[in-house]
Amino acid sequence: MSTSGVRVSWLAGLNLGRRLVLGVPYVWLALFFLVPLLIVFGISFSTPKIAMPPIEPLFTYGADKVLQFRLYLSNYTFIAQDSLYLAAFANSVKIALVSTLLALLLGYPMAYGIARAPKSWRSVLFLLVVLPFFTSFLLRVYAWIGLLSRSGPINALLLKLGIIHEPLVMLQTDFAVYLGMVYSYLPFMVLPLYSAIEKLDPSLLEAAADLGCRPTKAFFRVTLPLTSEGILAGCLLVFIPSVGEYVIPAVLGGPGTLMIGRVLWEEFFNNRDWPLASSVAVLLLLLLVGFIVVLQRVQSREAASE
Amino acid sequence: MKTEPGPASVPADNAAPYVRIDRVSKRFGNHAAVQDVSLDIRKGEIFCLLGASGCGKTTLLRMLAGFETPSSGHIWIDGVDVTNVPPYDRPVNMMFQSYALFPHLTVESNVAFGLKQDGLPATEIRDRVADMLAMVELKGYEKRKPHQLSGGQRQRVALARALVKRPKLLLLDEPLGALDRKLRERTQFELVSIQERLGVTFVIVTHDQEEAMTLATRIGVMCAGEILQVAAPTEVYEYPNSRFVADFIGSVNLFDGRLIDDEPDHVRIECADLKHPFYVDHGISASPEAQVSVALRPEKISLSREEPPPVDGLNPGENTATGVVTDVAYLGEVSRYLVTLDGGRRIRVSQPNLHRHAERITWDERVWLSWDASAPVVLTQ
Repeated sequence: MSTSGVRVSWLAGLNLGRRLVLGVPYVWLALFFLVPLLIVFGISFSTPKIAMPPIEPLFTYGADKVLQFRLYLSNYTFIAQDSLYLAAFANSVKIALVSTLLALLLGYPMAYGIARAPKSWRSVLFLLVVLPFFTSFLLRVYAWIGLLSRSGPINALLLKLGIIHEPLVMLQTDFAVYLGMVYSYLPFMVLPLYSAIEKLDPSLLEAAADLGCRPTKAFFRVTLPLTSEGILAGCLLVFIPSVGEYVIPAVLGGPGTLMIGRVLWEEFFNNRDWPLASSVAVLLLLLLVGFIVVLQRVQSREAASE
Repeated sequence: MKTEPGPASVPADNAAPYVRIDRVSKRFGNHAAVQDVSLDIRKGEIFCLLGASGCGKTTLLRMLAGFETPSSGHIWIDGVDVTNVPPYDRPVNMMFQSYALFPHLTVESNVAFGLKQDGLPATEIRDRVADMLAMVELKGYEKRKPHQLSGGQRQRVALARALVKRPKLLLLDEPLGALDRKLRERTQFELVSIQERLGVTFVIVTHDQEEAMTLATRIGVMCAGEILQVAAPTEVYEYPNSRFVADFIGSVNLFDGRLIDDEPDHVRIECADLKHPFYVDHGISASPEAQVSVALRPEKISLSREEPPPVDGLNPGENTATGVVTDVAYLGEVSRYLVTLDGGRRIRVSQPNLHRHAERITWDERVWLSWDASAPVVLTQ
């Protein structure tokens, strides 16, 4: 935001060494992000073909010495007409939004607790938040199968306590998907929230109390507005990967759990329809970019009013 | 213990206390931050808690605000026991050392914060905020955010925010600490004039004795969690009740001595650092031969090149000393001298520079020191 003023001339003043250092990440991004993205974008305008790779090339140069460039829009029109894709998009956004909200409700008190804990405790608590990352994501999601299954420890405990008389069906439900999502992405929520809350000057809360605010009121009038940036960052970090999540709905969800990541996977690997899978990916990307742009607009408007 | 004559203008001691701190202690673990402090603060006065950092003055202030609960003892404000009342229910407001302005709110919203919290009608809030901002001379800054203000302006926003709720008691934690010298001096007088206009009782915490002397109606000197002396600024300076107070407030020469002549109207104190005893023109209550301290302020000592004339009633040489000037600092209105006495003891002396053209006493000169019989303060604590 604040760098836009210097952007025009920053390159001119740099010597070769600096350009080289700054250039490396750009080359990296171009090679491993931009080029693949363009390839996916290109494939999305192709059509399937029984070949290797299984797509019709966009450019053909036949024996008749004609260079042909064909752009198939059929994938996009197909997606627009088939309600399955729309439903999958809508359901993904819904699941991601609910998971983000749950992660926020759970993560905020956690982050608050860590930020206000005695200094010597903080690093330990912090480690506990990050500790799950030491194990593979896939393994952790699979572990939930064991925990949630009919004969798993959760059902066994509830049965023993007499709370339930029949094992609960938890696996292959939306509940399991939400659980997996919140569990997996919670650290991404806690970390930015922690750094926002930690920066908050405790004397501001004392000032609010001094001016007549009870603790809950002070939270909504002071703490929440002053940590809004952390909230936004945490929500984006959870929401973005959640929308396109494949593993969690595939492993924990049932056949009814329709998510766009899963649709994409099936188109790609089961139907071997690369072009359709690519157009789903492009649309997913556009959806997320649109979401981020809207949020940033809101944020910069807030910043401007400050 | 003190039987010395009091200062000329004694503040009305019989005025009913507005704030009563009754045997209040505060312990954090094993550390006693405030120990058995009792203190009465009168309505409409500016009371300064003065002490070095870590003396417990801020803890005491925070107990008045309600941020800390006393481990024992009680606090009354205007006849109401507020010992266990939370800060949001106290008729008290505080100006924080860091100002603690809400960074996400404008100047106007910062000042209106407490009034909105009380659910006052919007028009009244607007009027009161406008009045308060006019008083602290911040008209035209209503829509600014705290980070767009200078230190002095922030300080005034903090003051306005604390005063707009018309508290019974305003607590100020090092109110001028973050300002530069020039601004401090101006702000000191502004604070006093605002306080006089509104009649709000101020309790100020400071480590800066000059600030305390300028602002305070009365000063409470604190050390290690206890209040050593409560008195008007002149009294604290001229009649300190202990070695610590004498040493803490201003500059002083302290002597250890022994009471050798104890009469109702005068005493003599023998001191190893001086050839002749001190003659003090009033009686003190201490046992004969008692070990006492004598405090002598630098400005109460006269320097001369010639032997001072003898004084009636004093034995020759009493209340005088001789030595050599070791150091001189010319500060404009006064000059400060460091004189090494013949016995080796170094004494601080300050002399007003009354004349522009004068042969001032300078380095390595032999000088006579003399002082009035009323100048030494005898301390038994």
